[in-house]
Amino acid sequence: MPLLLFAAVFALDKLFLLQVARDNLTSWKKIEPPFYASRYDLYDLYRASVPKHRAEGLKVGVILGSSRSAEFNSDGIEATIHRSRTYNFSAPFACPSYWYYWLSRMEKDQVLPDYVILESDGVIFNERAIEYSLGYSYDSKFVYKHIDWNRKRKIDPWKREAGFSFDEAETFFLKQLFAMYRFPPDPRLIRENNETMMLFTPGPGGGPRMWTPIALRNHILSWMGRVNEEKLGGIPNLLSIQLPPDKMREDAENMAGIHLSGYSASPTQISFYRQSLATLYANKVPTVLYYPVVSDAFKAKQATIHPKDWVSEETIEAQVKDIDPSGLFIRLVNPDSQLKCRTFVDSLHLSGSCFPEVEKLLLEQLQIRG
Amino acid sequence: MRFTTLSFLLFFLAVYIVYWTVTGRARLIFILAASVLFYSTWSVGFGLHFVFMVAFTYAIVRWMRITSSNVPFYIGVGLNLANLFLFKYFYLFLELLSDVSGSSIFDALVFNKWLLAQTGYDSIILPLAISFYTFVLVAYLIDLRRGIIPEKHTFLEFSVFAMYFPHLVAGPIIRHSDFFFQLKDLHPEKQQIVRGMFLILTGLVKKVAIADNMLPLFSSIFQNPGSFSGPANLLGTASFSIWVYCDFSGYTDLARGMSLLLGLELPENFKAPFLAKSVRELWRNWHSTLGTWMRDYIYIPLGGSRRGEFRSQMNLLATFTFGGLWHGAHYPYILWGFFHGLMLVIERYLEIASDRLGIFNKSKSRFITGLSDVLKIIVVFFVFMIGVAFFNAINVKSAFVMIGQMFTFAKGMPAPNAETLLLFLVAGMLLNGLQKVKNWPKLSDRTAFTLLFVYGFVVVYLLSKFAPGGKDFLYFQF
Repeated sequence: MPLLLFAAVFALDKLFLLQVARDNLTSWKKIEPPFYASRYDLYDLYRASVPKHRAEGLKVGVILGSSRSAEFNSDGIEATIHRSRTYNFSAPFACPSYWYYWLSRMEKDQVLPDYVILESDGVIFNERAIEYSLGYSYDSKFVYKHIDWNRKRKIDPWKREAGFSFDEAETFFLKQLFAMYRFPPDPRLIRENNETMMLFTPGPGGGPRMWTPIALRNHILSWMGRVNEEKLGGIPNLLSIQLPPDKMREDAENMAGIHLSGYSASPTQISFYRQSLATLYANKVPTVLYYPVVSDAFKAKQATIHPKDWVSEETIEAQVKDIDPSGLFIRLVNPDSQLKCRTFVDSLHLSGSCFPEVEKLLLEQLQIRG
Repeated sequence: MRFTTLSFLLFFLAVYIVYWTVTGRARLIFILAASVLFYSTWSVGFGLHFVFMVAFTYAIVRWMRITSSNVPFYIGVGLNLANLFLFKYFYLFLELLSDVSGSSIFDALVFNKWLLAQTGYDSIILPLAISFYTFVLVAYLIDLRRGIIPEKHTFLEFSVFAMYFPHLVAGPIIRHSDFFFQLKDLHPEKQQIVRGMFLILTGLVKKVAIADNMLPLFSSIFQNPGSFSGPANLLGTASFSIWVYCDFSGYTDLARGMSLLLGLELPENFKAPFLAKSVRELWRNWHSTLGTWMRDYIYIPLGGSRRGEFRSQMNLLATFTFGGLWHGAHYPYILWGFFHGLMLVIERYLEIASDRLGIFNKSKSRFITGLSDVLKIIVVFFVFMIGVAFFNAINVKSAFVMIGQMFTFAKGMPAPNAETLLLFLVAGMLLNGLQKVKNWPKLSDRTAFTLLFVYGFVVVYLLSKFAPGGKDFLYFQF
């Protein structure tokens, strides 16, 4: 009976993988799952396009970041790196393990880019940074291959090649096996998801419109597909949006709660970050490590973390020197002091209107060959 | 391997299938191998150490059976207690020596540096389950010496008894009389299986949905009780009480549930403790197996109640202080044990006084009796909460600060997440009350399966919504 019971509950759980179940029982505001899913389509496009681009003499670049790097624009980058195409694999709450996943696939498929912009600051190393990617990305083979079977807390993670902790791997496999764990259903959302209401439609020609959240989410999915094709994964937004100062402080409090609370540098992320740098250096791929510009309000929150715990710019710089002593291929760039544009959508995100300036400051550092 | 992980689920499914496929002696060999494997996933080295302790104790048992001398008994108990002392209380002993002598030789940091230089380990690690298995082994030796284990057990049976994985890590602490007779006739029984699955599902709710979510919500109060208001400290201790109940009894439910699926009944460890109407009743229903162990192997050898009332109460006080020390080498634990012993003593003397003075005349109306029972339950829970202020304190001073804040209704920061904590308190109390249900209804196969299917689905739904990152059971550290 126990086995039958387990099998029956397990089978029923699979119903929650159906699109109709996910549409109706999960929050339409949760765009991270479709966003992460869209990166797989982007990768298919990238892999198919790289040989064609090279045949046309175009340079191919890749951006690996979180939502703070989503607004890098392939067209804008082309203004500095002529005849280039830059694919943006950034995703909300992404982290080094997620970026290494794509890099390792590119290396395996022999489609490594000609240059890379890799987001690098203390925020990406937090233990909690992996939560979204564990639920919505990777594949079983990659996770299994990179399980750290022998994690010893006392060993400096910067000095050791590791991978996912056993707990992280278990969480991944649990989410793969149990649909309800990956997409927790909430019956109360059925009504909300099907209620016609005034909703803001993103993208060109968008704006307020009366429709249901399910319809909006489907629209966002197809819009993301177009974003992949037209903007190569980037979501540039040249509007200058500035959050008012009082709201900025409140937002910094919220963002700190999400990204910095219980901050602890993750051996998993440290390990994958080092492996990413090592892969890029081994393949002589010019790389700019982008230290994202954040608001002063958020910087104040960062400063409350104990220096012993926080992964500082100096720590990252030391790793870069360790992996690329010549400094020819990998450079850490913090554009904060030089950046003139200081508008912030929220405490953590620079306004899209500032990105052309950021691109210029970063790309000046890239020594692109040929 | 924590019980609430995917790897353990797969492990137990495999164990369950193979266990009921093999028969006879092969089944015992298999469950022993599975138990050794379970322990070794934590540490192979300490797994070997554990096997050695079991083998050594069994050799002592064989020696005791062929001699009337007390030598093997003292060696057996001595080595087991020395093993426990070395790993668990060494640093407390060092701290005492350091405090008394003032010498830096006894400083823990100095010792750890020396240990690292000699062995490569920077501290003495506490082996998993050492407190529990030491008590199981020592109890067997004492019972053997008392002549209450007439039957001879094979090494295989003895090893299964000591290393049986469902109870190994955090109890219940089993005795020979609970266990060996069941090994003679292992067969799956429908009612056992239904009860087992119900317990497993309930254990998951208690541990994953409630306990794991509660912990981060009130921890800050214990870190700095002086900053929080009196009501916040009250809520903090009440929350910890429910948290430790859900964590520990949830684990026990899982252990007992899995055991029932394997055809073995483990003793109950929790019986609605927060509905107790006296501190004595609380300790009969909270971690019962530790309570009976302390009664049989500490309280009674000290003289029990045979040497007059005063001596009896002092024996009780000593026993509970020892119970605090069992939890760890940490002064707040010892104070916690002493506090509960003191409460039992005070309660006993209040009973004697009220009997002599004829206070609380027994002929009361049902309403008065009911009201009196409710008040008693509240008072006993409050006593438990005060104990919690010691148990979970970072140091002794912090414990007294917390109690001071509680009693003086001091001003300070309000409790964080108060509403959520109150919801968890209610849920925990309801689960506590559920343990009062004594008799399982006899259900047909179809009804049982349907009810369990629905309950199982609800539990999976709750876990999917509320499961945070997995956290260790509190009692793993003991």
